[in-house]
Amino acid sequence: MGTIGINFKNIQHQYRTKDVLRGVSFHADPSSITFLAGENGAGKTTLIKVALGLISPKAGNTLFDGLSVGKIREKIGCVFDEPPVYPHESGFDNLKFLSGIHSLDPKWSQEVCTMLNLDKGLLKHKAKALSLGQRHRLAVAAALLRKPKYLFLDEPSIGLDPPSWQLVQTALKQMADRGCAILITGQNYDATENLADNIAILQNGKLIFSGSIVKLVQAFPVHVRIVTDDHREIAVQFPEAEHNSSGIYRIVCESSEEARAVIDQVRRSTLNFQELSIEKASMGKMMTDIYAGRFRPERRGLAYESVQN
Amino acid sequence: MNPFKIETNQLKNSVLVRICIALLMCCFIWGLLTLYQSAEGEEHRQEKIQQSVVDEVIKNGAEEELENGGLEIEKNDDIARSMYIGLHPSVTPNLFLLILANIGPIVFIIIGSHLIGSEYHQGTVKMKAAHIGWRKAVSGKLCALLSLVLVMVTAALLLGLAGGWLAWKFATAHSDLAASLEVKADVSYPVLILFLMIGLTFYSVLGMTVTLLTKSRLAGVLISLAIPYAEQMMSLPFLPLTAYQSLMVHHFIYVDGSIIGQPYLTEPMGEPSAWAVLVCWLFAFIAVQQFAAKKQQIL
Repeated sequence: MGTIGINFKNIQHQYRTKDVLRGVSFHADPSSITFLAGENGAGKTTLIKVALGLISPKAGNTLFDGLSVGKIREKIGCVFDEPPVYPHESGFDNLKFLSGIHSLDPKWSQEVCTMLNLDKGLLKHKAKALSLGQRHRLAVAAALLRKPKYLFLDEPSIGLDPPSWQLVQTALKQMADRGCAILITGQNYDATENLADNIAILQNGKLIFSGSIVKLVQAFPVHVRIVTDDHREIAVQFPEAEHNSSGIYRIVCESSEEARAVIDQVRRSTLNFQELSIEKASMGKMMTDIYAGRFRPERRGLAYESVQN
Repeated sequence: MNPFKIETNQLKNSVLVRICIALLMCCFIWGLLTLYQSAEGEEHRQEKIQQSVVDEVIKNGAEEELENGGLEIEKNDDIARSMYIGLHPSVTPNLFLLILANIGPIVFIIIGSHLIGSEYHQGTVKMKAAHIGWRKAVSGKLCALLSLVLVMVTAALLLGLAGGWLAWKFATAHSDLAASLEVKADVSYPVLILFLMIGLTFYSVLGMTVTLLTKSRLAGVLISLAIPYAEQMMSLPFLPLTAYQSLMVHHFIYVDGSIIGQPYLTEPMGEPSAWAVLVCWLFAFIAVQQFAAKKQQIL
């Protein structure tokens, strides 16, 4: 860790007088997918633009295996939220022009097009006739054709139907297996949970967490869900249980182990219940809690894994 | 990764470039036909004038003197002669290059602006800048445009030769005056080619640079096209238009009846200073363009 992969070091950026990025430092490892999360306007796209050298930061830098972006430009691939195309060119020409590669490797381009289900008929069409999802797959293909070592995808799931998003996910996993460091942003948290290995969370231009998604999920409180009509008994035995109007009670537990212990306790008690289960928060719910300040990763003993070198 | 090849390919596929080339071809053909028609018309006009003079002489009773050779009526066909000279294969490339020198700046400003402006318009600038590097991409575009200028100049030269060969064959078959002419053209084509290469590249770079700075194709075209008009109004020395037009006056042959007339200059520049001014402006704009492309924030 440290110099390998993509290292963001103390990135600061301002738009006029507004601080958009406030000393962001983290790293994206090779052979892994890092999910950059954050609300709208948190600074995700700006961070990607800074990393790609499209805008100059006020302070800080991004290093790729210890080198600046200008020195490794040909090893970078990127896809933006609004996939741009040359509308009057064919899909195939778009692949060439967008990837910046004049002579495409026929074997690799065939592999990528198959991976993303871009058939010959579609590539022959003028790009203006393509749907948003098809354009997005075309843009992903153009990025992959570069055989990138560092791949940036800004909200790649926009406009993609579930099968297309599945294709893109498979392609990204294959690229990660080939050693590529992938940084991906988006708002589709639940879809990203199974895709990404690591997560970096931005809030108001500040990094509030970076580390393993598994660790974050494990650290998030779980709920024991009890459906019962025995309101008096539950109030006596589990006074900490929160309930809603439909008679569903929830007991907040710090970990899965604690939740299992509570379940055993409920089973041993005299409480009459209709349903008893462990409820894990979805990634979307977790992110909502994090943004709202209801969950602070650092308070759960999660180390803030920032780049110090 | 070869930005030049990518940009050349894009340029080749561009509909706008094809339209511009077609427009130039039409102008070449129009220029040649107009010159031929003017020459033919002038010759007929002179013949009519001669005939009316002869009729007048006969009417005045000097027929005998005219028949005996005592009275000579001179045919004033200098203009027709000069027009026919313009149709000779050694001179027609001059006409075609002259058309290119006049229309080319407008065409290349539009193409230059389009090349840069379309990237902003379509949003592809982000992808280009990230994958190739914006400065490299702009340099690739500049080289592609330079090669287009070379192709256009060569095409004008060759089409001029071919058009001249045809027009001259036709003219000598139909006109005794044309057939009687001995043409020796005093045109230095290597200098004309060099002038057009520098001049048209300058206007391409002007269009590209203004578009790069304004990030808008429309603004790029309008401002770049307005600049030569502003120069004309200011009529100051050391401006690119003055240098460009001075070199046109120095190196091109202007024939009567052509669609292109000689530019009017109150104070034409000397040849060496005109070259120096044009080259300096070209390099200054390239430097500004490269600097802007390197420092530009792609939002």
